[in-house]
This record gives sequence, structure tokens and C-alpha cells, in this order.
Amino acid sequence: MRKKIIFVFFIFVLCKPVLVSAQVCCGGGVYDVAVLSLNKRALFNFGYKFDNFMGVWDYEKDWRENNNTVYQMIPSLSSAYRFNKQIQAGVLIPFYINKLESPGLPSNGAGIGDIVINGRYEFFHEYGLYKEKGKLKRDESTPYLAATLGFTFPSGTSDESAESEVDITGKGYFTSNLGISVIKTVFKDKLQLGADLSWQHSFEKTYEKYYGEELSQPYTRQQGDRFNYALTVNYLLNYWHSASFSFGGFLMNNYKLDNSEQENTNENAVNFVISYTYYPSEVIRISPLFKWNIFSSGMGKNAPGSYLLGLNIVYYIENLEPDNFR
Amino acid sequence: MKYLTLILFSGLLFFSCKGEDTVAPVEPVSEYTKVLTVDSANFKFELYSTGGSRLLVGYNELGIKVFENNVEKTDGFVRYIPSMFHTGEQEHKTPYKEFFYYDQQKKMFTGYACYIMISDPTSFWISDYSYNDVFTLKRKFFDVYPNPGSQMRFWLDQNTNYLYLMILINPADPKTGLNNFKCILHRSFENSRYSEVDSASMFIRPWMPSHGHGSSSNVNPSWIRNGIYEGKANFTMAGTWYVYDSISVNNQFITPNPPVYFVFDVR
Repeated sequence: MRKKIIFVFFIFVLCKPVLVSAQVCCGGGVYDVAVLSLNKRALFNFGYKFDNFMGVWDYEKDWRENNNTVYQMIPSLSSAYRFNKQIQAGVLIPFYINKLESPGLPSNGAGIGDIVINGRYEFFHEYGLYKEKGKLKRDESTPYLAATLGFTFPSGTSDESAESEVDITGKGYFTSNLGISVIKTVFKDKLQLGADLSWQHSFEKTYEKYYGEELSQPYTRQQGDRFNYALTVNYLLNYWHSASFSFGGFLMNNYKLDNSEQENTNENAVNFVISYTYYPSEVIRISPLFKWNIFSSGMGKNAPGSYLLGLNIVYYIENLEPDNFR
Repeated sequence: MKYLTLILFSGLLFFSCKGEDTVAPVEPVSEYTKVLTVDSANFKFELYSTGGSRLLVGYNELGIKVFENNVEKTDGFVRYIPSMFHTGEQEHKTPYKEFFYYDQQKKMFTGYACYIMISDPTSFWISDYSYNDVFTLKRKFFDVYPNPGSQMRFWLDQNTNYLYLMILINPADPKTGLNNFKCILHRSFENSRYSEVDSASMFIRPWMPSHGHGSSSNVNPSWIRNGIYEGKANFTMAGTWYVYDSISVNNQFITPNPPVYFVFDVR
């Protein structure tokens, strides 16, 4: 059951959305991490998200509602593979379908988004076995701890070459992500607490075109460094069902134009996620989720606010020799 | 038989009533509101504006009615020449249309004036009114009030020493999505009269400074009449937007680098 608990929690982490800091109708850069428990060798995930942008917080933290309909649908494929007890890696390939209802403007666009690869090094697993005076014992106190690493490739279409906003499916620049993930079971087989913290660094991008038009004066832009956080409570209803609640958000520094930091352009927002997970079998998991921002002044700055409906369907290949990882 | 007659009569009544519902021609309601009247002896000028009953800072679309012995003039032209005086200083000019010609549809002499300052206790607006250069009413006081939707940008072109003035006409209340972008461009040499610039090329670039992105699908303003240029600006989300406008005249850029810009609070 211990494996199951870890499994459940990782499943939640797998489907946890992270706010993308981008203009409405931008895609890419979502660090959905496909994570495997010790008794799983690999996974294949089909994900779907409907992200409906309700408005934006301005630089004075005032909430401004959208007058028009703006949303994204993001089907995605992801996969992960466990190499050994400590190391696993995954890849996420999103596809963006953008919708903007605004008179006189193109309303539909779609394309492959920014591809994310990620990995993690697991320092500790909960309930690990150890020998003491010749006896095999279970470690009841050590939490799960892993270092996470991610990298986003600008494979999507950015505002540099897109014809209009609905064609944007990526940020157009490389992004790296470094973080830690901690999990501690509070009540065995019932309740877990988790924390995910990460630092995101975006690399500079030079614009020689903008929306396909040549610029007379190219310029560089660099997104500010970003700190992501999420605190999660995971409750196991029974062997087949679990529910999770997460509070998360991000803080991002000012962006730079031509190496000059632009004042008062820092961003932040908070979000809540509710997720339910159902396990029809040992190797299949179905997990719907709902994420929302609080659409009122003071709950964000320079960031879009949305609500998101998501669904993840995961197929696992079991690790037939998990004891080799002990 | 009585019932048949009644039915036939009712039917006739029904169809005849339906016929009466057709849209009757409606007198067009004037978009102009009277602002002030100046008169002297037998002459009277009535000043109208599309912006309401007050003259506002920025671009004002104006109409003038002229009367001589209470008989309205319906041909010829009117000169309306506003100037500003500051206590203890020289007067200065402001952009205005040189000749107001009679518009048969609007039933008045039409033109515009751009007031570059509000009236205050030390600053006074006066104007001269003239019909066909035959009779003139001089130095009539009027007031100019603040206009939150108005924006104007002055800059000096170092190459020619012309002082340029660009005044925003639209949008005064910008919304997310495509907005009509309309402005009027004048220039003046050594604080003399402003003249319309009709041969400029404009290149606009909307930019959201707090997010660091622009927008697609913008239409560069093109000349439509009397120094007025019209295009489209796309504001993709609510918030503060800049619209930079690079302007060239005879293939020489007259705007500084970075270019002049208007600021919009998009809702």
C-alpha cells in the first residue's frame, strides 16, 4: 500500500498545472511532470486541458475582466521512464488550440507547443527498507525528497513568427527549471502533505521580426526569473479513489528589454487546484482536475487569470523487479 | 353573411394596419450641440461642437452658423481663428481649420479646432470670427475645459526645426480588440500658425509595457483628409498600452527615437 500512496501522490503531481506567465493566448512552458513510483517502469499519458482566460491583473493589481472570449484547449502526450531507484525522466508534447472571439481578428489557431523534458533525482523514498542488527526494518520518518530539473524547447510558434495572437503556441525562448519536491505521509494510507518549489530561468531572445514583419531595429527580451510554489494535501479515500487539494502560485521578476530591466513589470498570481483520481486497474489512472485563480483585485499582478478544466488518462508499465531498486 | 363581411373587414383592417407600420423617414438628429453665440450689430455667429456643449482640450469638430439680420448664410466660408493669451506673455496659436465651408447636409459651416490648453485664471482663449472676409467679430472670449480622453504630443524635428503636434482623435475609450486609431498631425515653424501635414507616413506599434509584448493585425494610419490619419490598433488584453507612432515625411523620419506614443487604459 505504501507504493500505492506514493503512486497516488505522484499522479497528482503529474497533473498539477502551473500558471504560465504569458499574454493571453500564449502557450508553452508548462512543467507538468510525468512522475513514476518505484513500482512503475514507464508511463504514457494523454492529457487534455481547457484553459479559459477570464481577465488580467494590471500593474496596480487591479483585476480587469475580458470583454471577449479567449481560451485554449491543450491536448498533450507525455511519457516517463524510470532508469533506477533514483533517476527518472520524462517528456511532454503539448498541442495548442487557441480561440479568440474579437471582431475583425482571426479567431482560431493551433499548433505544437513548446516541448518540455524533465527529470528528477530522488534522494529519499518514504518507507524505505533498511537493516539494523540483522533485521529488516521500515523507515517511518524520512520523507520523500527529490531534486527536479526541466528544460523547455521553443518548438512552438512564438509572437516573432506567428501571424496573429491565435497562432501563438510557444514562448520562443529556452527555459530551464530547477526545483525540489518533498512528500511526507501524515497518516499512513490516508493523508499526505507535499511541497513543490522550483526556480525557473528564461534565456534571452532576440527579435528580428514581430508577427512576421521585419523589424528595423532588432531587440532582445528576457523574461524575469520565476519562483513557483505549490503546497498539496492528498487524501486517499480508499484503494481506488483519492482527492487532492493544492494551493500554488508564482513570483516573477521584471523582464528585460535590451538588457535593461523594465520597472514594475514583475508578475505574480495564486491558484487553487482540486483533483480527483480513480484507478480502474493497477496500470490505468483517470484524473480530472479543476484549477482556478481568484478573480479579484489584489490576487495577482501583471498576470492573466483563468480557470482550467483538465483530464489525464495514464497507462503504466509496471516495474516487475522493484526490489532491484531497494 | 354578416360573419363573412366581418372577417373580410377585419382582414382588410389587419393588412392596412401592417402597412402603416412601415418605417417613415425620420429627420436626422444633428450630432452637433450649440456651445456659444457671439454677435455684434446685425451679425451673429453660433458655434457648435460634436463633443457636447463645451469646448474641450484636444481635437474638436466644430460647426458654425452665421446670421446677418437674422438671415442664415448658406454659402461662402467662415474663418474661425482661436488664440490663447497668458497673462504677461505673448499670445500663441493653436491648430485650426483655415476655412470652414458650408455643408449642405449638416446645414452649417464645418471645420475643427484643436485647443492645446485649458482655460484658467491666467490663461484666456479668444477667437476671431469672420464671414467671407466681409464682416468680422474680433477677440471674443471662450472657455476650454479638460478632456480626459484627449492626448497630444509635441516634438521638435532637429533636422527641419519644425515643431510637430500630433493630437489623438480616437479611441477615447479603448476596448480590448481592434480599435479605430485616428489622429491629426500639424507642424509649426517658430511658433507661427500651425499647418496640417498631409504627406506623412505613419507606422504604429502597440506595446503593453507591463507584459512586454505587442500585438498583431494593426493597420498603419493612412491620410484621410486635413491632416487626419486613420488606422487600427489591436489591444489584445485589458491594461495599459502604449501606441508608438513612427512618422516620416518625404522619406525622412521626423519622430525621435524611441518614437512618440499615446497611452491607453484599455478596459
